[in-house]
Amino acid sequence: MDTTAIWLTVRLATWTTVILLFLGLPLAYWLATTRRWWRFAIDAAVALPLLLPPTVLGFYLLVGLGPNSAPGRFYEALVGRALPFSFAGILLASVLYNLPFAVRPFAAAFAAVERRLVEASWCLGVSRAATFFRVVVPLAWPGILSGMVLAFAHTVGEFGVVLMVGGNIPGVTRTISIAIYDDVQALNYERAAHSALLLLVFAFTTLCVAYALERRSVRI
Amino acid sequence: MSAELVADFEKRFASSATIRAALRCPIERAGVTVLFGPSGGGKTTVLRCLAGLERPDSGRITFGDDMWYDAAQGVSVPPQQRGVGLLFQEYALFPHLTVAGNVGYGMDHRHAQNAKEQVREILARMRIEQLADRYPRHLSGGQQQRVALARTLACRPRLVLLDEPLSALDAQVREQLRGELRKLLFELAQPAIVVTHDRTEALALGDAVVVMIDGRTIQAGAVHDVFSHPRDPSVARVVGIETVVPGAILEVADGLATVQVGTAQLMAMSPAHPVRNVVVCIRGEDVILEREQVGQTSARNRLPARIVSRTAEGPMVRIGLECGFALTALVTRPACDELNLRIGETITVLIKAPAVHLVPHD
Repeated sequence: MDTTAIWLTVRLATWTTVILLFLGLPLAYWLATTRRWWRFAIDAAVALPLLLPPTVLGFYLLVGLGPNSAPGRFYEALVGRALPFSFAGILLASVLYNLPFAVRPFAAAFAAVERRLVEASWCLGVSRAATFFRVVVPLAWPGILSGMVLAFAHTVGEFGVVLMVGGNIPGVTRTISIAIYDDVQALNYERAAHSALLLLVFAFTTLCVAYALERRSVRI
Repeated sequence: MSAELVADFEKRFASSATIRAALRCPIERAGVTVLFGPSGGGKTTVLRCLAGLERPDSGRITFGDDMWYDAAQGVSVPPQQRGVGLLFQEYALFPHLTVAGNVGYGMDHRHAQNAKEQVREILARMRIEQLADRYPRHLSGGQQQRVALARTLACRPRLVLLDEPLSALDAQVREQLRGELRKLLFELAQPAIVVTHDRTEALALGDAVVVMIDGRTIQAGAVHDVFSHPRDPSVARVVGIETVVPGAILEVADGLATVQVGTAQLMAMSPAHPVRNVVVCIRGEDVILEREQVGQTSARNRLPARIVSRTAEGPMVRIGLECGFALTALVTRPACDELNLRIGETITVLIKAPAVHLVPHD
């Protein structure tokens, strides 16, 4: 098995999940509680990667962040190297591409928390932020966890966006799904089979965990 | 003048009627102001505006010297800073916390030991200390109500707002908790506003009442005053009782109570849990007037009365009487003509004991 690719994939998925947790929780809470009329536009933007082919997102990222664009040049001046074909590049791509897999379960879990409980907390003198951590998160945690699990698993299985933005550099951007593609191209079927089985078992286990969590959240 | 909560505001809804509320209630000593009216009249919205959960569209709310809301100045103090305890109709207990966790939720956790002590004290006072480690889903409705009330009172709010506090309970528990609730509020010297659509609840809990119909606060005053002297027919319809006077039970025998009302004594059915102080309620149509002494009657109450007023109301005539207390009778117009009732005359009043309703009010 390609341990370098596995290790890289785990690193990518972990970072993606952590970033989505910090980015996704506030975004999801805003989506679940706001009364602004233009909410639907943000909802749609978050859900976009569900319908968009990975190549489209990858293409825009490549063009938008490449050395010929203003943000790309800014990043290069700051860090000293270009975003495409780097680990940071595929991390950014995978965060954007996985946004709906984290934010939608988060938002659904937040929306299921009774509004009255939040108001009861406010009336007991507890601030909005403290209420979020003492009431909303404890009641929504199964949904938060299942969002994290889905985001992690989906990153592990990501192929198109990573290939577009990252290419295929061993130890830098070559994740396990790209390694499988590579192995098949090179007629190395045995190694591809090992990696594929690993991903299959992982994906099935993950979905079992996610659905078990969902059942649990329904019970509460 | 003692400190008061003064609210006068308007809240507009796109889908339904505008809520227009004007009310005041004392906030320095114990006292219960009842916001009374039929369901769907906007009472809960008023409470939510007072708590700071809802923002009115115009007007102002002041609490003593504090400005809570002022449309003109754009001031709206958030609920956290109002120091108000709100008891939700469905209790809204935190399902992931134990009873002790719920009750101690709003306390200052920088003094953990102190908070623990306070939680124990309030649980003991509400007689639910044995429930401390249970979760809300394992409690009966009555127990949940006590826990929610304990949580609301635990932080010693400056004012508590109780939204239909007893309506989710079955009749037996409701009656029991009604008495306890008022006693508790007075023991804690806790000013309160209680929302209810239940007449008996309003009479049993309230010192003052604000009647709210179709989104408007229509009449406010002492409970007896408002119930006995409704300002207009809409209020009269809602209160539905012509005579409401304070009384004291002198003795109870064989399920019948003798009650001192003003300078008169009445016989009535004894309430299930006898107390000393009661509110005596008599409907106008249950009062019989007679000119001549009949020999014997089944009515237990027979009083001489003086006619003090006479008002025609459609086919009925409302007769104001003085018989040791102010009593109102409703008689038909032909009966009124036949008896030739005139102001200043003396007449005999008959009331059957079961027509005299006693609402405990300690």
